[in-house]
Amino acid sequence: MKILLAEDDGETGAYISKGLNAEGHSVDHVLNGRDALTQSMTQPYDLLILDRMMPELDGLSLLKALRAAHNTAPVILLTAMGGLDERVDGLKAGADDYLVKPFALAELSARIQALARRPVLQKEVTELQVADLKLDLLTRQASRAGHEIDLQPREYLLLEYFMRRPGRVQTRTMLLEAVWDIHFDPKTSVVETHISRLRGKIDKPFNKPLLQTLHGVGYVLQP
Amino acid sequence: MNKRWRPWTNIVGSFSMRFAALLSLVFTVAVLLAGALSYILLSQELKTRLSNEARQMAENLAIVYQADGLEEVINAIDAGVMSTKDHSNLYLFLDNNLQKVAGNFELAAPFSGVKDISDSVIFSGEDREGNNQGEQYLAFGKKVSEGWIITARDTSWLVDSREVLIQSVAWGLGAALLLAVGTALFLAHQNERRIERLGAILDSAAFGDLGQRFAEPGRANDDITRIALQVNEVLGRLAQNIENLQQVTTDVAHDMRAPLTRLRTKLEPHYLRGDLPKDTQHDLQKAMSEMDTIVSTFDAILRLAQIESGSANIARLPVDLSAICLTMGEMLEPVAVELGHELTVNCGAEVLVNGDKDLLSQAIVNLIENAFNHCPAPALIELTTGITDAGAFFKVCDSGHGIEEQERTAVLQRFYRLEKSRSNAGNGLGLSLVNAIAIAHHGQITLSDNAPGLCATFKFSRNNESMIN
Repeated sequence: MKILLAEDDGETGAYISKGLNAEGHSVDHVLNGRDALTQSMTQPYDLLILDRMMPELDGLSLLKALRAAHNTAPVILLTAMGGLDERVDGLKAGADDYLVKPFALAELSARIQALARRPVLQKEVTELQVADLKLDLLTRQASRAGHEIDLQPREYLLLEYFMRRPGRVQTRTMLLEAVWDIHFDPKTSVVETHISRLRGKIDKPFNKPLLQTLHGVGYVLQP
Repeated sequence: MNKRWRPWTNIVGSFSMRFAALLSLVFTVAVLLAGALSYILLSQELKTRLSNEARQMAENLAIVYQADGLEEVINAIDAGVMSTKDHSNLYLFLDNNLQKVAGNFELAAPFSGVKDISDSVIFSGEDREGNNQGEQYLAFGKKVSEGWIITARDTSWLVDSREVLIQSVAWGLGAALLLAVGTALFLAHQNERRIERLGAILDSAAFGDLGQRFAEPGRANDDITRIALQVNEVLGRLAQNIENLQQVTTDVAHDMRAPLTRLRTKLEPHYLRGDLPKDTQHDLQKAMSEMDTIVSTFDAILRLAQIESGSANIARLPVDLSAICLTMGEMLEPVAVELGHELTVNCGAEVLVNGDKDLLSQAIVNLIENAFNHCPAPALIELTTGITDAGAFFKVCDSGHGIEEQERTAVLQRFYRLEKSRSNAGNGLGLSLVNAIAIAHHGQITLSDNAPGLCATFKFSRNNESMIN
């Protein structure tokens, strides 16, 4: 993907660029909002990563200007403010996602992946399948290798979320936001426990585990 | 701000109304006193005039008698009687044998000087049953050598004048009182509305909206305006302080997160390499997790400061407390099992409150996680929602050690940690955050004994119903 990164902290920007380059993206790094505006107006990007606080032109104003100019490229806002309204303000201004510093590179890259391949609503799809794991979206029944699996409602949502994104890393915060719609960090191991429960049903009785943990990064349903 | 009907009791109890009532009372007493005084003075004056007139009439007749003799006096009396057929003036000449010689009334006993003869006057002839029976008369008697000249003046118009005076005072007083009470009610109502507006502005300021000001274009300066101007000034200063605070937190956030981000960018690639010795890998993970703790404590402080200062935009939308409790309870139930506890959720019927779903979810999660952390396993933890007459509530009760009564207020303060749990995880901000969230929702947190254990109840006040913007 061709990505524009606007980050005024050179060191952080360089690290992010390096990390994203290593994942096969091509990254242009600019150090202020005005350069980001010029750059994004002259070249098409698949994704913009904008720091919220930048000299010359802050990320939020830049984003508003881009949206006003009908630039529809997906935008991830990076921010040093973890406040209550910050996320809402960012999303209102037209950001597609929002990340509070400091963040794990894996978190950013998982979110880039999610934006790049947003699940398209396929109305005709009534069944999801990953390897021998199947999920009937009409009867809400899961089965693996022909064995029916009983799921609690939230386990069903969690599994559906993973099955719609096979092979893609899902971080803890992404799961908290998507499955439980909460935007704060519970102190206890909520996600871990639910994943472990789900694993107990879809993986444990079978030979090949599908739901894998990437330590320090997140989880992935690997076909 | 929604308009509320102000009951009259509020106006009656208002300062302006009481002041107006007091003024009206003083005014009434003053008018009554003035009326009474006028009544007395007027009566005396009129009485003196009438007796003077009666005397004058008698003196005139006496002069005629002295000059021209009895015959002329009788003629004069007859002429007087003829000209006052309405008996407004009375004339009588009694001879020394007390026989009536001339005049238009009779009198049993003659006298000299002024006398009220209302009770003893008798009209003669066709007037015996006349209209003037019972009228009031003031008479003057004068002795002359052949008898007595007695003249009298009808004083009934004196009584009429008094009645007119009383009536005019009564009507005047009534009208003035009506006007005074009406004006007082109008002013009190107006003042009450202004005070109410000022109160509403202070209310919204207490919950974070510092943008409202009291404005009354074109109104002259009075006490309320002066106080309102002071309130405006204080609100302006407060808003400025909050803006400064926000600027500081923004700066601090930026200046602290930037190096932390750089630190992470230094650590993370090594952590992800996977070819380092296990110990180093472990240390790196520990360092990163410590860093996450710093960030999360910092986030909690920021969040708390924002909620407490009212600078956070808190949603005020109708949310079903029971639905949130069910979701959060269901989310934490497996964690409870993992930790060896039992979490029961009693959230049935819909409990609607106005508030911020995110913050209320966080309050519920914090309270339950608090119980997880402080109760030795296995503990029974219960999450309940409901509505009482006092308002909606949710509560988290556990079967742990509880908190000593004297420490229950202190644990709501930031960074306060019970000595016995100091070794436990947590930053001492969880309960103070819940407390701040409660206050931001016009509610309160109460901690009570669950014998054994602790009940933390998040109560919404009835005011919460009017919170929708």
